[in-house]
Amino acid sequence: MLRAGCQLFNPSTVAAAKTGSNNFALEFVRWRRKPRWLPVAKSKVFRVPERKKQSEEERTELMRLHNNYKTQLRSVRQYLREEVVRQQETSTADHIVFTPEQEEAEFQRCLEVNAAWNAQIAKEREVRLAKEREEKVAYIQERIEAGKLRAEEQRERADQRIRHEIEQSKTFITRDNLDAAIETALANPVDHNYALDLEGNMLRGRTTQSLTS
Amino acid sequence: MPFMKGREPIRRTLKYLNEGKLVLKDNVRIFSVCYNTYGNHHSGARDLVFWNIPQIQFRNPDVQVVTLKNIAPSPFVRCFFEDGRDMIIDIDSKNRDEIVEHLINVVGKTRKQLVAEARLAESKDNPANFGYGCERHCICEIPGQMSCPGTVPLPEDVRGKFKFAAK
Repeated sequence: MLRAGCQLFNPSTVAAAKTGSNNFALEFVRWRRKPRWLPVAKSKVFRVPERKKQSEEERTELMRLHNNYKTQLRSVRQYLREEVVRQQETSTADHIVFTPEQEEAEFQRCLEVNAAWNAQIAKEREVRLAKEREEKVAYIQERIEAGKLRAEEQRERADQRIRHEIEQSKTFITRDNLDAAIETALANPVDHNYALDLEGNMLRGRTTQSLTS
Repeated sequence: MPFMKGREPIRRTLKYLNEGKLVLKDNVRIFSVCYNTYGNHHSGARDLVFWNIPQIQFRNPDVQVVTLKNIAPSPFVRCFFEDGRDMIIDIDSKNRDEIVEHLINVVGKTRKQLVAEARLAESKDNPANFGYGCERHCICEIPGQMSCPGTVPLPEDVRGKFKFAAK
Protein backbone atom coordinates (compact mmCIF):
# COMPACT_ATOMS: atom_id res chain seq x y z
CA MET A 1 0.00 0.00 0.00
CA LEU A 2 2.73 2.38 0.79
CA ARG A 3 5.13 1.12 -1.74
CA ALA A 4 5.81 2.79 -5.01
CA GLY A 5 5.72 0.87 -8.21
CA CYS A 6 3.75 0.16 -11.26
CA GLN A 7 3.38 -3.54 -11.23
CA LEU A 8 1.20 -3.88 -14.27
CA PHE A 9 3.94 -2.82 -16.57
CA ASN A 10 6.92 -3.89 -14.52
CA PRO A 11 5.94 -7.00 -12.55
CA SER A 12 8.29 -7.84 -9.78
CA THR A 13 7.83 -10.69 -7.32
CA VAL A 14 9.53 -8.73 -4.58
CA ALA A 15 7.21 -5.79 -4.90
CA ALA A 16 4.17 -8.05 -5.13
CA ALA A 17 5.25 -9.90 -2.01
CA LYS A 18 5.83 -6.66 -0.10
CA THR A 19 2.55 -4.99 -0.99
CA GLY A 20 0.46 -8.13 -1.03
CA SER A 21 -1.24 -7.16 -4.21
CA ASN A 22 -1.58 -8.84 -7.57
CA ASN A 23 -0.54 -7.81 -10.97
CA PHE A 24 -3.77 -6.14 -11.84
CA ALA A 25 -3.72 -3.52 -9.11
CA LEU A 26 -2.27 -0.16 -10.00
CA GLU A 27 -0.72 1.60 -7.05
CA PHE A 28 0.68 5.09 -6.94
CA VAL A 29 2.71 5.91 -3.91
CA ARG A 30 3.74 9.49 -3.53
CA TRP A 31 5.49 9.73 -0.16
CA ARG A 32 7.00 7.13 2.13
CA ARG A 33 5.43 8.05 5.39
CA LYS A 34 2.57 6.84 7.53
CA PRO A 35 -0.58 8.93 6.87
CA ARG A 36 -1.91 10.83 9.86
CA TRP A 37 -5.07 8.78 10.14
CA LEU A 38 -3.29 5.48 10.75
CA PRO A 39 -2.74 4.46 14.38
CA VAL A 40 0.59 4.05 16.05
CA ALA A 41 2.45 1.05 14.68
CA LYS A 42 2.05 -2.08 16.77
CA SER A 43 5.76 -2.30 17.36
CA LYS A 44 5.84 1.27 18.73
CA VAL A 45 2.74 1.24 20.91
CA PHE A 46 4.53 0.69 24.20
CA ARG A 47 7.63 2.64 23.36
CA VAL A 48 8.26 5.41 25.85
CA PRO A 49 10.53 8.12 24.50
CA GLU A 50 13.33 8.86 26.86
CA ARG A 51 13.61 12.38 28.20
CA LYS A 52 16.64 14.31 27.21
CA LYS A 53 19.03 14.83 30.05
CA GLN A 54 19.78 18.45 30.89
CA SER A 55 22.79 19.45 32.85
CA GLU A 56 22.38 21.85 35.74
CA GLU A 57 24.19 24.65 33.91
CA GLU A 58 22.08 24.24 30.83
CA ARG A 59 18.92 24.29 32.88
CA THR A 60 19.83 27.46 34.75
CA GLU A 61 20.89 29.15 31.53
CA LEU A 62 17.60 28.25 29.82
CA MET A 63 15.66 29.41 32.85
CA ARG A 64 17.49 32.74 32.80
CA LEU A 65 16.74 33.24 29.11
CA HIS A 66 13.13 32.27 29.66
CA ASN A 67 12.73 34.70 32.54
CA ASN A 68 14.30 37.49 30.55
CA TYR A 69 11.98 36.84 27.66
CA LYS A 70 8.88 36.75 29.84
CA THR A 71 9.80 39.97 31.64
CA GLN A 72 10.45 41.85 28.44
CA LEU A 73 7.29 40.65 26.80
CA ARG A 74 5.21 41.54 29.87
CA SER A 75 6.60 45.05 29.96
CA VAL A 76 5.83 45.57 26.27
CA ARG A 77 2.32 44.26 26.73
CA GLN A 78 1.72 46.53 29.71
CA TYR A 79 3.02 49.52 27.76
CA LEU A 80 0.65 48.77 24.89
CA ARG A 81 -2.29 48.32 27.23
CA GLU A 82 -1.63 51.66 28.89
CA GLU A 83 -1.33 53.28 25.51
CA VAL A 84 -4.74 51.96 24.50
CA VAL A 85 -6.30 53.22 27.72
CA ARG A 86 -4.71 56.62 27.19
CA GLN A 87 -5.99 56.68 23.63
CA GLN A 88 -9.52 55.79 24.71
CA GLU A 89 -9.56 58.47 27.36
CA THR A 90 -8.43 61.26 25.08
CA SER A 91 -9.94 60.34 21.73
CA THR A 92 -13.38 61.48 20.68
CA ALA A 93 -13.68 59.01 17.88
CA ASP A 94 -16.70 57.12 19.15
CA HIS A 95 -18.95 59.90 20.42
CA ILE A 96 -19.80 63.49 19.68
CA VAL A 97 -18.31 65.79 22.25
CA PHE A 98 -19.94 69.02 23.41
CA THR A 99 -18.35 71.68 25.50
CA PRO A 100 -19.93 72.11 28.93
CA GLU A 101 -21.55 75.38 27.81
CA GLN A 102 -23.12 73.73 24.77
CA GLU A 103 -24.33 70.88 26.90
CA GLU A 104 -25.84 73.26 29.43
CA ALA A 105 -27.55 75.25 26.67
CA GLU A 106 -28.95 72.08 25.18
CA PHE A 107 -30.20 71.00 28.59
CA GLN A 108 -31.86 74.36 29.15
CA ARG A 109 -33.53 74.13 25.73
CA CYS A 110 -34.89 70.70 26.63
CA LEU A 111 -36.12 72.03 29.96
CA GLU A 112 -37.95 74.85 28.22
CA VAL A 113 -39.53 72.56 25.66
CA ASN A 114 -40.59 70.26 28.43
CA ALA A 115 -41.95 73.10 30.53
CA ALA A 116 -44.10 74.21 27.59
CA TRP A 117 -45.33 70.66 27.13
CA ASN A 118 -46.09 70.31 30.83
CA ALA A 119 -47.95 73.63 30.89
CA GLN A 120 -50.03 72.57 27.92
CA ILE A 121 -50.90 69.28 29.58
CA ALA A 122 -51.64 71.02 32.87
CA LYS A 123 -54.13 73.23 31.08
CA GLU A 124 -55.79 70.26 29.43
CA ARG A 125 -55.88 68.44 32.71
CA GLU A 126 -57.50 71.41 34.45
CA VAL A 127 -60.24 71.36 31.83
CA ARG A 128 -60.66 67.63 32.16
CA LEU A 129 -60.71 67.72 35.96
CA ALA A 130 -63.23 70.59 35.96
CA LYS A 131 -65.44 68.60 33.64
CA GLU A 132 -65.09 65.51 35.76
CA ARG A 133 -65.87 67.52 38.89
CA GLU A 134 -68.99 68.93 37.28
CA GLU A 135 -70.06 65.50 36.21
CA LYS A 136 -69.50 64.21 39.69
CA VAL A 137 -71.48 67.06 41.23
CA ALA A 138 -74.33 66.40 38.82
CA TYR A 139 -74.22 62.72 39.59
CA ILE A 140 -74.27 63.29 43.33
CA GLN A 141 -77.10 65.77 42.98
CA GLU A 142 -79.03 63.22 41.00
CA ARG A 143 -78.38 60.57 43.58
CA ILE A 144 -79.53 62.89 46.37
CA GLU A 145 -82.73 63.69 44.49
CA ALA A 146 -83.37 60.03 43.89
CA GLY A 147 -82.74 59.29 47.57
CA LYS A 148 -85.16 61.97 48.65
CA LEU A 149 -87.79 60.61 46.30
CA ARG A 150 -87.24 57.13 47.61
CA ALA A 151 -87.57 58.29 51.22
CA GLU A 152 -90.74 60.16 50.35
CA GLU A 153 -92.25 57.09 48.78
CA GLN A 154 -91.27 54.99 51.74
CA ARG A 155 -92.90 57.43 54.14
CA GLU A 156 -96.01 57.49 51.99
CA ARG A 157 -96.19 53.71 52.05
CA ALA A 158 -95.74 53.67 55.80
CA ASP A 159 -98.45 56.30 56.29
CA GLN A 160 -100.84 54.35 54.14
CA ARG A 161 -100.16 51.25 56.12
CA ILE A 162 -100.72 53.09 59.38
CA ARG A 163 -103.98 54.46 58.13
CA HIS A 164 -105.02 51.00 57.10
CA GLU A 165 -104.10 49.60 60.48
CA ILE A 166 -106.04 52.32 62.26
CA GLU A 167 -109.02 51.47 60.09
CA GLN A 168 -108.62 47.82 61.00
CA SER A 169 -108.17 48.49 64.69
CA LYS A 170 -111.87 49.39 65.05
CA THR A 171 -112.76 45.72 64.84
CA PHE A 172 -109.91 44.51 67.06
CA ILE A 173 -110.79 42.42 70.11
CA THR A 174 -109.49 44.28 73.15
CA ARG A 175 -109.57 43.56 76.82
CA ASP A 176 -112.79 45.60 77.15
CA ASN A 177 -114.87 43.79 74.55
CA LEU A 178 -113.18 40.41 75.09
CA ASP A 179 -116.17 38.95 76.98
CA ALA A 180 -118.64 40.13 74.41
CA ALA A 181 -116.50 38.63 71.68
CA ILE A 182 -116.32 35.30 73.52
CA GLU A 183 -120.08 35.38 74.01
CA THR A 184 -120.61 36.02 70.35
CA ALA A 185 -118.22 33.28 69.34
CA LEU A 186 -119.84 30.74 71.65
CA ALA A 187 -123.29 31.74 70.45
CA ASN A 188 -122.35 31.29 66.81
CA PRO A 189 -120.11 28.26 66.47
CA VAL A 190 -118.61 28.01 63.03
CA ASP A 191 -117.83 24.67 61.45
CA HIS A 192 -114.97 24.76 58.96
CA ASN A 193 -115.39 21.11 57.98
CA TYR A 194 -117.07 19.98 54.83
CA ALA A 195 -117.11 16.93 52.56
CA LEU A 196 -116.47 16.50 48.86
CA ASP A 197 -118.21 14.00 46.63
CA LEU A 198 -116.86 12.58 43.38
CA GLU A 199 -118.32 15.43 41.30
CA GLY A 200 -116.49 17.96 43.42
CA ASN A 201 -119.54 19.31 45.21
CA MET A 202 -118.83 20.81 48.57
CA LEU A 203 -121.16 19.34 51.21
CA ARG A 204 -121.42 21.42 54.36
CA GLY A 205 -123.02 20.35 57.60
CA ARG A 206 -126.74 20.88 58.03
CA THR A 207 -126.83 21.48 61.75
CA THR A 208 -123.95 23.79 62.27
CA GLN A 209 -123.31 27.15 60.88
CA SER A 210 -120.58 26.93 58.31
CA LEU A 211 -118.64 29.52 56.37
CA THR A 212 -120.07 30.26 53.00
CA SER A 213 -117.33 30.30 50.42
CA MET B 1 -38.98 32.37 28.19
CA PRO B 2 -40.21 30.35 25.24
CA PHE B 3 -40.33 32.36 22.05
CA MET B 4 -44.04 32.37 21.17
CA LYS B 5 -45.51 32.32 24.67
CA GLY B 6 -47.11 35.11 26.66
CA ARG B 7 -48.79 38.38 25.69
CA GLU B 8 -47.52 39.86 22.45
CA PRO B 9 -44.31 37.86 22.18
CA ILE B 10 -43.25 40.13 19.33
CA ARG B 11 -42.00 42.45 22.04
CA ARG B 12 -39.15 40.03 22.67
CA THR B 13 -37.97 39.72 19.08
CA LEU B 14 -34.64 41.30 18.24
CA LYS B 15 -36.11 43.10 15.27
CA TYR B 16 -38.76 44.79 17.41
CA LEU B 17 -36.30 45.67 20.16
CA ASN B 18 -33.90 47.22 17.68
CA GLU B 19 -36.70 49.27 16.15
CA GLY B 20 -36.90 51.42 19.29
CA LYS B 21 -36.52 55.09 18.40
CA LEU B 22 -35.68 56.40 21.85
CA VAL B 23 -31.97 56.40 22.61
CA LEU B 24 -31.41 58.43 25.75
CA LYS B 25 -28.69 61.02 26.09
CA ASP B 26 -25.43 59.95 27.68
CA ASN B 27 -26.08 61.90 30.86
CA VAL B 28 -29.39 60.17 31.63
CA ARG B 29 -28.91 57.63 34.39
CA ILE B 30 -32.42 56.63 35.50
CA PHE B 31 -35.60 56.60 33.47
CA SER B 32 -38.75 56.08 35.53
CA VAL B 33 -42.38 55.88 34.44
CA CYS B 34 -45.20 56.30 36.93
CA TYR B 35 -48.63 55.12 35.86
CA ASN B 36 -51.89 53.69 37.18
CA THR B 37 -53.53 50.47 36.09
CA TYR B 38 -56.91 52.22 35.82
CA GLY B 39 -58.19 55.48 34.42
CA ASN B 40 -58.51 56.69 30.84
CA HIS B 41 -55.91 59.41 31.21
CA HIS B 42 -53.33 56.71 32.05
CA SER B 43 -53.94 54.62 28.96
CA GLY B 44 -51.08 56.23 27.01
CA ALA B 45 -48.68 55.61 29.88
CA ARG B 46 -49.87 52.02 30.16
CA ASP B 47 -49.31 51.48 26.45
CA LEU B 48 -45.89 53.06 26.74
CA VAL B 49 -44.94 50.67 29.52
CA PHE B 50 -46.34 47.70 27.65
CA TRP B 51 -44.94 48.40 24.20
CA ASN B 52 -41.97 50.74 24.53
CA ILE B 53 -40.24 49.93 27.80
CA PRO B 54 -38.62 46.77 26.36
CA GLN B 55 -37.27 48.77 23.44
CA ILE B 56 -36.03 51.58 25.69
CA GLN B 57 -34.24 49.17 27.98
CA PHE B 58 -32.75 47.32 25.01
CA ARG B 59 -31.45 50.45 23.33
CA ASN B 60 -30.14 51.88 26.63
CA PRO B 61 -28.49 49.02 28.49
CA ASP B 62 -26.58 51.41 30.79
CA VAL B 63 -29.71 53.22 32.01
CA GLN B 64 -31.83 52.02 34.91
CA VAL B 65 -35.41 51.80 33.65
CA VAL B 66 -38.03 51.72 36.40
CA THR B 67 -41.81 51.57 36.37
CA LEU B 68 -43.88 52.71 39.35
CA LYS B 69 -47.47 51.55 39.54
CA ASN B 70 -50.48 53.08 41.28
CA ILE B 71 -48.74 55.64 43.46
CA ALA B 72 -49.82 58.97 41.95
CA PRO B 73 -53.02 60.32 40.40
CA SER B 74 -51.27 61.60 37.26
CA PRO B 75 -48.92 59.64 35.02
CA PHE B 76 -45.44 61.06 34.46
CA VAL B 77 -41.94 60.19 33.32
CA ARG B 78 -39.06 61.26 35.51
CA CYS B 79 -35.48 61.23 34.23
CA PHE B 80 -32.52 61.58 36.55
CA PHE B 81 -29.32 62.99 35.11
CA GLU B 82 -25.70 62.39 35.86
CA ASP B 83 -25.30 65.65 37.77
CA GLY B 84 -28.20 64.93 40.12
CA ARG B 85 -30.78 67.04 38.34
CA ASP B 86 -34.02 65.54 37.17
CA MET B 87 -36.77 66.28 34.70
CA ILE B 88 -40.44 65.51 35.18
CA ILE B 89 -42.42 64.96 32.01
CA ASP B 90 -46.18 64.97 32.35
CA ILE B 91 -47.84 62.38 30.10
CA ASP B 92 -51.44 62.86 31.21
CA SER B 93 -54.02 61.86 28.54
CA LYS B 94 -51.38 61.63 25.81
CA ASN B 95 -51.12 58.62 23.58
CA ARG B 96 -48.06 56.47 23.21
CA ASP B 97 -46.78 57.96 19.98
CA GLU B 98 -47.01 61.54 21.21
CA ILE B 99 -45.20 60.59 24.39
CA VAL B 100 -42.35 58.84 22.56
CA GLU B 101 -41.98 61.73 20.14
CA HIS B 102 -41.75 64.22 22.98
CA LEU B 103 -39.30 62.04 24.91
CA ILE B 104 -37.02 61.83 21.86
CA ASN B 105 -37.19 65.59 21.59
CA VAL B 106 -36.40 66.19 25.24
CA VAL B 107 -34.23 63.38 26.64
CA GLY B 108 -33.29 61.44 23.51
CA LYS B 109 -30.42 61.78 21.11
CA THR B 110 -31.26 63.52 17.88
CA ARG B 111 -31.37 61.65 14.62
CA LYS B 112 -28.27 63.48 13.42
CA GLN B 113 -26.39 62.46 16.52
CA LEU B 114 -27.44 58.83 16.13
CA VAL B 115 -26.39 58.70 12.49
CA ALA B 116 -23.02 60.25 13.30
CA GLU B 117 -22.46 57.78 16.13
CA ALA B 118 -23.38 54.84 13.94
CA ARG B 119 -20.94 56.01 11.30
CA LEU B 120 -18.16 56.47 13.83
CA ALA B 121 -18.81 53.05 15.29
CA GLU B 122 -18.55 51.54 11.84
CA SER B 123 -15.32 53.26 10.98
CA LYS B 124 -13.90 52.10 14.28
CA ASP B 125 -13.71 48.62 12.82
CA ASN B 126 -10.15 47.62 12.18
CA PRO B 127 -9.11 48.56 8.60
CA ALA B 128 -6.76 45.62 8.67
CA ASN B 129 -9.74 43.25 8.64
CA PHE B 130 -10.55 41.51 5.42
CA GLY B 131 -13.33 39.23 4.29
CA TYR B 132 -17.10 39.57 4.08
CA GLY B 133 -18.40 43.03 4.98
CA CYS B 134 -14.98 44.62 5.06
CA GLU B 135 -13.19 46.98 2.73
CA ARG B 136 -11.35 44.17 0.97
CA HIS B 137 -12.42 40.60 0.56
CA CYS B 138 -8.95 39.09 0.62
CA ILE B 139 -5.51 39.94 1.94
CA CYS B 140 -4.16 39.37 -1.56
CA GLU B 141 -5.46 42.78 -2.58
CA ILE B 142 -2.70 44.40 -0.56
CA PRO B 143 0.49 44.98 -2.57
CA GLY B 144 3.34 42.89 -1.26
CA GLN B 145 1.10 40.15 0.16
CA MET B 146 0.96 36.69 -1.30
CA SER B 147 -1.46 36.34 -4.19
CA CYS B 148 -4.42 34.01 -4.08
CA PRO B 149 -3.56 30.39 -4.94
CA GLY B 150 -6.55 30.35 -7.28
CA THR B 151 -4.90 33.01 -9.42
CA VAL B 152 -1.22 32.26 -9.10
CA PRO B 153 0.13 28.93 -7.78
CA LEU B 154 1.80 29.16 -4.42
CA PRO B 155 5.58 28.82 -4.22
CA GLU B 156 6.68 25.25 -4.06
CA ASP B 157 8.18 25.42 -0.60
CA VAL B 158 4.76 25.98 1.00
CA ARG B 159 2.95 23.30 -0.99
CA GLY B 160 2.63 19.88 0.58
CA LYS B 161 2.96 18.22 -2.77
CA PHE B 162 6.56 19.31 -2.91
CA LYS B 163 7.31 19.59 0.77
CA PHE B 164 6.50 15.96 1.53
CA ALA B 165 7.49 14.48 -1.79
CA ALA B 166 10.11 11.76 -1.80
CA LYS B 167 13.52 13.16 -2.39
